[in-house]
Amino acid sequence: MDKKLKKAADRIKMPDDVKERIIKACEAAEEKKYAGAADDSYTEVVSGTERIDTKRNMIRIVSAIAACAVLISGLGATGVLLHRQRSSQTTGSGAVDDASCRSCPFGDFTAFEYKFDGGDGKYGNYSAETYAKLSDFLNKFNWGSELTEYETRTEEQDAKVYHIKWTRGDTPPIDCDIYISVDGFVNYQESMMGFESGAMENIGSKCYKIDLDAFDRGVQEILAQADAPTPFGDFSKLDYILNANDAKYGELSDDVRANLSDFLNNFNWGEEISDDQLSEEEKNRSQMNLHSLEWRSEDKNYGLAVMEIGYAVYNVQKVTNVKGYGEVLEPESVQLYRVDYEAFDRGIQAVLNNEPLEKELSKCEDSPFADILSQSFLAAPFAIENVEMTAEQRNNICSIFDSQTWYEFDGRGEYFGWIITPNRNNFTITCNNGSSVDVISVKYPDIACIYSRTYDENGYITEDDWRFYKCGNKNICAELAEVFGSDLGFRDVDIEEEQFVDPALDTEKNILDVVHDKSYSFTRNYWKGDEWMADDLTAEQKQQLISFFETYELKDEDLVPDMWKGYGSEEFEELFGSSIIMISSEECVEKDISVSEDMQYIALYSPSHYNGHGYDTRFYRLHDAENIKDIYNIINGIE
Amino acid sequence: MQKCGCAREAVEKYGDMLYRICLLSLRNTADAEDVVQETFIKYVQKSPDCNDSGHEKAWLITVATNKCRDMLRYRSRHMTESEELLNSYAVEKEDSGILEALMELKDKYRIILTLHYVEGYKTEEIAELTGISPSAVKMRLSRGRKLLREKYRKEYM
Repeated sequence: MDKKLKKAADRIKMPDDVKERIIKACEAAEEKKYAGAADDSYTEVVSGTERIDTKRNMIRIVSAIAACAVLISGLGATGVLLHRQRSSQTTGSGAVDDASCRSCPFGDFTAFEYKFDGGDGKYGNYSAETYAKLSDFLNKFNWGSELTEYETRTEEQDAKVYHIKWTRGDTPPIDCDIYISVDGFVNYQESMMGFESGAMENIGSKCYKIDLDAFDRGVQEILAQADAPTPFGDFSKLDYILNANDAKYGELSDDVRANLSDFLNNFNWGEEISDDQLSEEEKNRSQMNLHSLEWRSEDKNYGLAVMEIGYAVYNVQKVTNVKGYGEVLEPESVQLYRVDYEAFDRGIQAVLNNEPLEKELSKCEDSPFADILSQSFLAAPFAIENVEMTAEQRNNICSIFDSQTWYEFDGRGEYFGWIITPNRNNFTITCNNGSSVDVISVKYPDIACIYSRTYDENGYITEDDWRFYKCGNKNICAELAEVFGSDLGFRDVDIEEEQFVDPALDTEKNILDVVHDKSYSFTRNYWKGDEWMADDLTAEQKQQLISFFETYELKDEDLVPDMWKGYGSEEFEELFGSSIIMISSEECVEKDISVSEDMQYIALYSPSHYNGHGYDTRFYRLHDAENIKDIYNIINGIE
Repeated sequence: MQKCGCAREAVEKYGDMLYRICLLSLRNTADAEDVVQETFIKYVQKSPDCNDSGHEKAWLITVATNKCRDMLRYRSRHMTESEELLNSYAVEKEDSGILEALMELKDKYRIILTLHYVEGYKTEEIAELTGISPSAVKMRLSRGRKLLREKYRKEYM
């Protein structure tokens, strides 16, 4: 898409006559300038920026490889060159004075239970360790003196970059908010609920002007290290370049970079090892293949080289500017990790060639379906009802399942909309054993799942298990249908497998982003007689909704298949009712939220087209009804 | 340090680029022409000191984007004529719609996306050019990209 945009935009040219007109106007202005004020000596000095320059990147690539080569030869020569000096987690920001006892104008952040929203989509959901670092930083940061003269603020200046909020436990409680704007303007506000109006009223405010760059640097350094998926940070947030021995990788497109970051974040970086754990061969080998990554922060240069002989070197250098010499790099720390180079190389090649990454497939020794098929079962061969079967048909079904080689994989995130009730797209087998139910469901081209659940005497699920399998036989659906004499229309269609991966997955909006987006309307929708009503949620209800999604993480492991024939079906409404919370803009519905009457499940509908079939609802099993009570009450209009 | 200021050379060299940025930002050819002209006039009047062509270009983009912002602010308070779309530029079928989709985004996303994807500036550089923080640029880039993809897919694919 980005290339398309550039290509289309590049076609925009200024018409020649306009160019001529501008040149003439400029020449006239130039003449006027020289003819007139000769005493106007004002000149403007610009701080320029450079365009992304592939040539410059090549130089950096070469220098990164040179750095790795030095490191390797160093290892070979002395074997004891690894200098271990872990960097402290405090930021290098000049605005933080470690030694000072400067008191923070807002109080001691270590004593507050605050939320720090860094605009990174996490809405302050960081670990306690990260908060400890943030508190330390915020306490020591130079907030400056309170502004005595307030400037008029424009909307542009007032765009918020950071928001810190906490509640002071007075009676009534006081909400404290710090808003930090794009130009470093800090607005601290205290508000409390008005006795008469019931609305939040501002009871005081203070303003400061800070060095936003310094603040930004400090915070970003903490957030990049904290809660990161790898020991090196979150690659999706690092502006890294990828190199190889022969510097064959150039600029990465946005899509490739996103896939690469994803791969790097999920790669198994193994355990940190010490240099004495390296063999003599590992220490002395001077030439080998490697992949390396390099990135910079304000004052540090980071290098990560993954070596062919199975370890990765993470190298941090301090960057200092020395007058007359330019930048000087001093080694700060070196860490080693034991990694699987082959897996890394395969992954990198797949990402760069835009090939799908290998799914983690683990081969099943025996058919995972054998146990279920050995019992009495019902079958719905791509039909909305179970059908009668002869003994021969049962045997044939069992033989088809048994004769495949099955591989298990983690498929919940991808196939969350899977329907396990009889339907025309799946071959389903249901085995009902009183308190437990097992379902096998097979779908084109070669994917099957087993969903097993056990109920207690009240009908609540006490245990469930959802597993996915793949067999590589793209005729399996046709073979299963043939047992019942059916001819499947879609078996002849040569559909690319990729089409079975939800194309809308990457456009589906995260529920946390949606509930925080103030541009949406939040309504409770319900039937009143024959009329479909839509009441706006109150501020308090909206806050309850946000709090739920901020505190209760909806995990893939809690996803369950669709056991109710889709959002809004008769079966669905029997359990979930018809009232919903709708989050929408003028153009579209972004999310519909339903909660089951037994408060065991929450259903989130998104306006995507899951696998082109309209299965676009995520059903999550909830583990504690109390968590969802507020939302359930809002949906059902319970005060 | 060289003195900048030769009008013809600068217009030939940077005219199309500035016009593109202004047109994508303002969505109106007449306004875009005005802003480009004012930018070049300021350029010859001020003759900014530039270390290299990168500085010269950055100076021009900074001035032009500031002027675009002024113009958009003015427009938000005053009624203007209906905005022109850019159909004439997207003549090839495969490109149809991408500029229209871009045009539908808010001003703050359009300018950042244009500087990044069309002119190839990095986030830190855009922050310097537009005077907003790098994290705000990143945020706008990410949200703008999402919105653009959504609009483009919804209406043109």
